[in-house]
Amino acid sequence: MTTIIQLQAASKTYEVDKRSITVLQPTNLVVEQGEFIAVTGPSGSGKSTLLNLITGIDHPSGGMVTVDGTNFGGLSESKLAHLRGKLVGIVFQFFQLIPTLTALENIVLAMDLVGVIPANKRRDRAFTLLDQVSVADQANKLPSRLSGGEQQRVAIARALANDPAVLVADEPTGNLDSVNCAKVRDIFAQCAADGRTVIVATHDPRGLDQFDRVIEISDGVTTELANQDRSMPSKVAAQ
Amino acid sequence: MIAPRLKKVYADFATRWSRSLITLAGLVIGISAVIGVTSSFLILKDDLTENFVRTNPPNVSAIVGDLTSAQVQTLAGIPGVQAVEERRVVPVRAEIRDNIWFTTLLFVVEDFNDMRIASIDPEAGAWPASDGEVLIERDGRYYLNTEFGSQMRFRFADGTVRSLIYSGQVHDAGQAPSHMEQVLYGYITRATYDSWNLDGQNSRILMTVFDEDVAETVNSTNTLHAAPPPESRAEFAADHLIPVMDFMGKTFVSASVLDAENHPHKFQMDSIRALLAGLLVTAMALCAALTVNLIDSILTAEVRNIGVMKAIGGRHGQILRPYLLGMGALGGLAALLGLSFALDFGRGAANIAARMVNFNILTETDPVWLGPSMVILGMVIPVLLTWWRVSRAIQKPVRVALQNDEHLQTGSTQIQFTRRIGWLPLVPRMALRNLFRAPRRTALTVLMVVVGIICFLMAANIRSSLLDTVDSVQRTQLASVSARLRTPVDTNEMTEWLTRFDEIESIEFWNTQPSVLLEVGESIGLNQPVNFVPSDIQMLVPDMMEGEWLDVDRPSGIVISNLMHLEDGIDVGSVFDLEVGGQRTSVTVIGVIKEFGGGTIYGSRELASELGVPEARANSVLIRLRDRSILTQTRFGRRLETAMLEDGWTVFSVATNSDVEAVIAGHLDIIARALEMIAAVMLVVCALGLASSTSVSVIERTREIGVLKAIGGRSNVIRGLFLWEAGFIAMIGWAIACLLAPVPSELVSTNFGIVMVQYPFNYKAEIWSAPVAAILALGIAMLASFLPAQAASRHSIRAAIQSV
Repeated sequence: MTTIIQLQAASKTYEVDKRSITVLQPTNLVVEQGEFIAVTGPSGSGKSTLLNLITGIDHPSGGMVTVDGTNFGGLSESKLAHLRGKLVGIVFQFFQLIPTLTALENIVLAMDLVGVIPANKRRDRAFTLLDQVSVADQANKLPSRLSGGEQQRVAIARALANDPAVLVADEPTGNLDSVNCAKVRDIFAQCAADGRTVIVATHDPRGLDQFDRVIEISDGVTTELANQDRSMPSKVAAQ
Repeated sequence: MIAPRLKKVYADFATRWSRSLITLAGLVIGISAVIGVTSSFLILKDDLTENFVRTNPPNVSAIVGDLTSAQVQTLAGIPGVQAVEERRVVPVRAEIRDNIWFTTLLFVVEDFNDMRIASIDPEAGAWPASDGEVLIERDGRYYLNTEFGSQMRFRFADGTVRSLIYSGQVHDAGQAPSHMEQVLYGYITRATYDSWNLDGQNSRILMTVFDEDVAETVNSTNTLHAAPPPESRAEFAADHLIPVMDFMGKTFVSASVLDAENHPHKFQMDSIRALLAGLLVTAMALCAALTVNLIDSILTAEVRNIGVMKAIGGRHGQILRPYLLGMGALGGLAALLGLSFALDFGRGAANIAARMVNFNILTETDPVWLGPSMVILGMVIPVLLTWWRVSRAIQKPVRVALQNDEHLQTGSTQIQFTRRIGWLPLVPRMALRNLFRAPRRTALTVLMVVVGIICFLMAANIRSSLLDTVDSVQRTQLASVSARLRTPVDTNEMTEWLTRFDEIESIEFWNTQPSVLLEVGESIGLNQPVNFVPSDIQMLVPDMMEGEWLDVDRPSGIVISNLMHLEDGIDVGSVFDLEVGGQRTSVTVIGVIKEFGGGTIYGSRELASELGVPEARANSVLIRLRDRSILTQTRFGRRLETAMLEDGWTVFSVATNSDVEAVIAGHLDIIARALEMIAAVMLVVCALGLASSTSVSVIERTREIGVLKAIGGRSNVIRGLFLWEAGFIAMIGWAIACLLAPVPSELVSTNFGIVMVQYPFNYKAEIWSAPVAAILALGIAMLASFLPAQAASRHSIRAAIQSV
């Protein structure tokens, strides 16, 4: 298997009112291509921070983050954004759709910005993706006209628009009901089954057995739970 | 399918149409103001002078003995003289209403179809005038209550009343406007004048000179003109009149060298243009501040979207370009919408100024570059501001952009400030604290309020100063009514005659004579009236600028008015020769009096005696009434004039104090009106600034609003939050404006007076203006902020909380 993501002693510290707060302790993590990983932990534990480092939304204060062989920390913002668009699809907790574009246009926008999908195929691909997440009939509606679950599925479709190798989702079911939660989990599972690396931050203990690996974060310290007992923490290359 | 990025540009404006509309309106007003003022400035630059120059104004005006036409034409032989024309002037009084007589100058035109000097243009009615007809200068039409073809009565200095038919209207660009000078100008034929057989008439000669050096023409065979040329061609010609008149056996009375390049009221036009220049700078600054705030109001909501686009792969240029396109299009649209308005506004303002100073706008088209400049200005400024603002947002880390709550951060300054204002009720306390969340936006909005209120206060203060100036003039001029007589009268006789009027409190007699103030040994000098006054003068409270008033111990001392001091550069201590009625004596300037109006000299009765002016006779009667109301003054003035005429007194004019007030107001009104117009425009800009600032505040705190409502905040509380914020901004701006306004107000009041009429205006702040400005500022704040505040109060809780 190929290593797609590697964290080497990556940490994150914030300066707040002249105080340093380490949100993520130095962490080593290796993710292979095609793995389906859950990142769990209580609120404020550092889950989002870990995902932000992986996606390049945030830069590590220490250590290094490599995605598909590229050190994200060494790139300019412009190159980072482009590479992120090609390699990593992001699903946010609060959907983050562009409110003045329809569901279809939100997906096409992602393809327009990255440019890997030929222009004459973008619209059809967008429809296909919307169909895959079961919201094709909402294609021409603005986000304000969609339910939470529908918006999140559109967001997932957008994240898949450029056929990224990695899909990262930060609390994707945090604002959804149980029915939509299940739908979204199924979509992620399907993506993983298709060979995509999927990393999902969640505090929902249900369905953890679907994942290949479960990484628990508590007070900035990452621990990988063993497969046989997801409740028994075991260290992951602790520093 | 339209590319989503382009669709987003349109959708962003269309979805938030109210904010887009405010932005568009702000851009239109801002750009229009800049271009409009520029247009006015350029139009007024040369047109007044061009109007004046087209009349071929004279370089020399001389009063000499009665000449024939042939004799007049021989004067063209003086070296350097280009043209000569006679244009006699008959001072009369025109009856504009029943028994209301108005000072009038009748110009005798030798040939209406061949006016080579000081020409006039037909405006309406007959042209040229026929014998027995009179044409009136157009600026005087406001005083007339008659139509073409009607008889107008004119009273002459000897008391004779003659009628002329008012047949037409003309424009004389070479004269100061009638409404400012309170003088009508009429134009008659030579035949009409000759038919009157007036006694003791002199010729009034107008001369223009060539451009080439007089020295080249002085060596002519005509020995009459063999004299060394002085520096000025006009001075040479004026000087030469003396030996020529002597040769002809005619009297030489006086000659004046005139400024043939500048209109008599050029100083007013310069002051108007200076005002426009100041307005332009202010408009540009405000336009920039308003545009920053307006663009902020649009882009604040875009910070999160920019973060999203970065997160999903958008690069700097890809994200920036649609915003530039959108704002460029909006700016271009604003420019196109405002172009016609701006140019009309500019031309309209120029027309108003032109009407005030009585000249025609000759500039038919605006400069070619003005329209494209407006479009470029309209596009470039918003594009540049957008570039700056969006680039800053793109620089933000994605995580920060997605949260988009930097503006909601509570800094330590805020916390400390909050503690100090803990005594305030909750809503105003929250509102006041919120102002510090966006210091730049707050500062820019306060700046707009400051400028708007300063303009309002300035307009009020300057209007007050003008009125105080009028009052102070009247405080120094104690006579209620002044009567000028054509020939001096026995003062005892006049005193006896005036006893019939019970309204009179006191009387004083002056002797006013035409005089020439000359450099020692010179023959051409400054023509000014001289008032010989009693040593214990009662009708004048001298407001001395420099030196001292007339002193019995210094009989040869004279006092000059501020106009002679400022314009002619005559200082205290200067020694001159004063010539009155052919008699000449040495005088010393001992003081400068602050006095509104033309140049005047004051001399003692001792000086009058020395110049052969009899003391027991006077030609000016100054009367102080018991009741000094305007109505009483006006009625008494008419009664006095009528009675004097009936009893054979050679009354020339009767003027009241209110006439003086009208002259002053006529000069100053234009400035006060211009400032009031400026204030109105600035207050509109101020309102737009407040509206946009509140809009941005609402957008930034949408989620906060939802939370407030969720925990029990009612709509009126939410609305009140934003109205209080706007109110605080208005009050802070008002307070700063009140502190700063006196400085420019005083600067404009005093300096404009000197520039315009060589009379330093008083400065008097208008007391009521500050509280009215406070009410105005608050009113504007409430009106401008109401809609955004109302929108905030109507947010649904769910949508607001979900908003990110």
